[in-house]
Amino acid sequence: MTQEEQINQLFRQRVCWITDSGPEDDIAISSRIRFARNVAGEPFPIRADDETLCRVRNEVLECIRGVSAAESFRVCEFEVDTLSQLDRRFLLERHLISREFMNPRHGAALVTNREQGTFVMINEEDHLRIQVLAPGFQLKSLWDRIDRFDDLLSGHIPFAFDAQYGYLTACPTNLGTGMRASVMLHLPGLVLSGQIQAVLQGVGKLGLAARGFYGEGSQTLGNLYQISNQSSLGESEAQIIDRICAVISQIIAHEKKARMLLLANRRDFLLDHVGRAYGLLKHSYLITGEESLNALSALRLGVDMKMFKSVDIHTVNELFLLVQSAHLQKYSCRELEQEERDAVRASLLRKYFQD
Amino acid sequence: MLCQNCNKNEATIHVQQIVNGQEKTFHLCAACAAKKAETEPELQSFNLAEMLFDLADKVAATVGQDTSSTGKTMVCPLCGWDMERFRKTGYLGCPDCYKTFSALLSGVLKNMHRGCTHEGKTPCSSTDSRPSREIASLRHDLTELRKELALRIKNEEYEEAARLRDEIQSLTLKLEENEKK
Repeated sequence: MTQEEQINQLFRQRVCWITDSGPEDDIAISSRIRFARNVAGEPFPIRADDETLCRVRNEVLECIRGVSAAESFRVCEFEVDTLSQLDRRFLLERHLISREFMNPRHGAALVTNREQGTFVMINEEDHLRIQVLAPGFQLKSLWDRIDRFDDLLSGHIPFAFDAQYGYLTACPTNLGTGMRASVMLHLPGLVLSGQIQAVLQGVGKLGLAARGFYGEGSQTLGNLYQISNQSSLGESEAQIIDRICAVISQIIAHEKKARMLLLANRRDFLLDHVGRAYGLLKHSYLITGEESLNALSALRLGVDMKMFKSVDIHTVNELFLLVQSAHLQKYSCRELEQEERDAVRASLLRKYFQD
Repeated sequence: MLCQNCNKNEATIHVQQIVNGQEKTFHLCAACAAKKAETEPELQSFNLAEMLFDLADKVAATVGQDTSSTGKTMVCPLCGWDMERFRKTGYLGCPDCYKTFSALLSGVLKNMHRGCTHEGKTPCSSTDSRPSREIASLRHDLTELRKELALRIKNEEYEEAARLRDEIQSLTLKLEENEKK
């Protein structure tokens, strides 16, 4: 099967963190943990030549094949540097690759399981970026999964490790555990009630970072915020996860309260916000990606607050993915210009909300 | 918060400067910050890595260490990465760089993290699954042999490659036996 066919298969494949239910998934869309790991004795990707990068890639791929065969889960492999820009964009929208991988080096690769809940970027900033992703707020069960997978890999790959500094990473910001744990939160209540800036500032003071939809350096869209740990050295993984979980639980409680207060005190404002968004999604003939993500956010709020009986929350999640540009082009099976995309997006949404 | 220049994108760069009691504040998106940097010197070369190093230098200076004389000429003996590149990019070149630049790193790490010593898991974390020395060395040998095998195949030295393949097979069996124990 060619890489493009594999990508098209991934497009049709169920995405576990979009279609499955998870704890607190009315507010927490997904949880993610990533480990940064490097092969001992090899220069980091920034310093390595193409030959070294390809050798590292082949070694890592071979090891992952071995581990996944023993665990009997099926994986797809992609040489990211040979993919088209559209296919890379598609993987970015699925959160399988980072923005850095949009301009990949030679030897850049991605391995993912079919459900796209466990995957490894090879030769991004570090030799390995091991990631696990699940619906809702469930960092602790994700930790068990990634810890085990990491142990299996470390049985075959000698990871660069130092007793004082822990796992050695290309950038000292990831040193130690090499771990970043994050939860993607949908916070329209806090945005509508004007409390979001205060909450985000609080998050910063507690040593956590808030990022936009596509991670580092991206802007916020659709009231989605990714909250993650800033530091990775000096605390164990369990301590970091406990710290994040405590903050996330509080933010979720704040968001719930904000929604209830909006319903109690500004009912018409809330209904108008949701109703207009629904109208936009149902009746537009041209709609931009940003406009549709913001409208879908409002609709999701309405669904969470039981304003719609006919719309399912997983459908809204799926649409969050489908309205993005590469997904739209995969959906139409061809490349689309900007205005064409807006038309196709609107027609897709009209079709979804016909009844 | 939206970018104060274009009012479209989310502001991701926030700079506040107080010069002679006069406050100057910028809330900009990355694109506008890049444009504005041409006219506003305080936005030029906005670089987190450099900021952290400046901070580390100041900390070191107050405790009487002179990082500038030791640090700037330092070069990693293994990969050739130097202080200047570390400073510019914020990246190190290889695992060994952590030894080379350790004197400078301690200051930087204090600003970034909650401690300077690793507290978390170790490769093959639980003590009962920690590989014995023999297993570790077998794994190391296998990795080296595989590297050499790839090289021989590339150079079309098939006789040597066949010998290596057999050696890898026998070592793999030995490793599996050891792992079962």
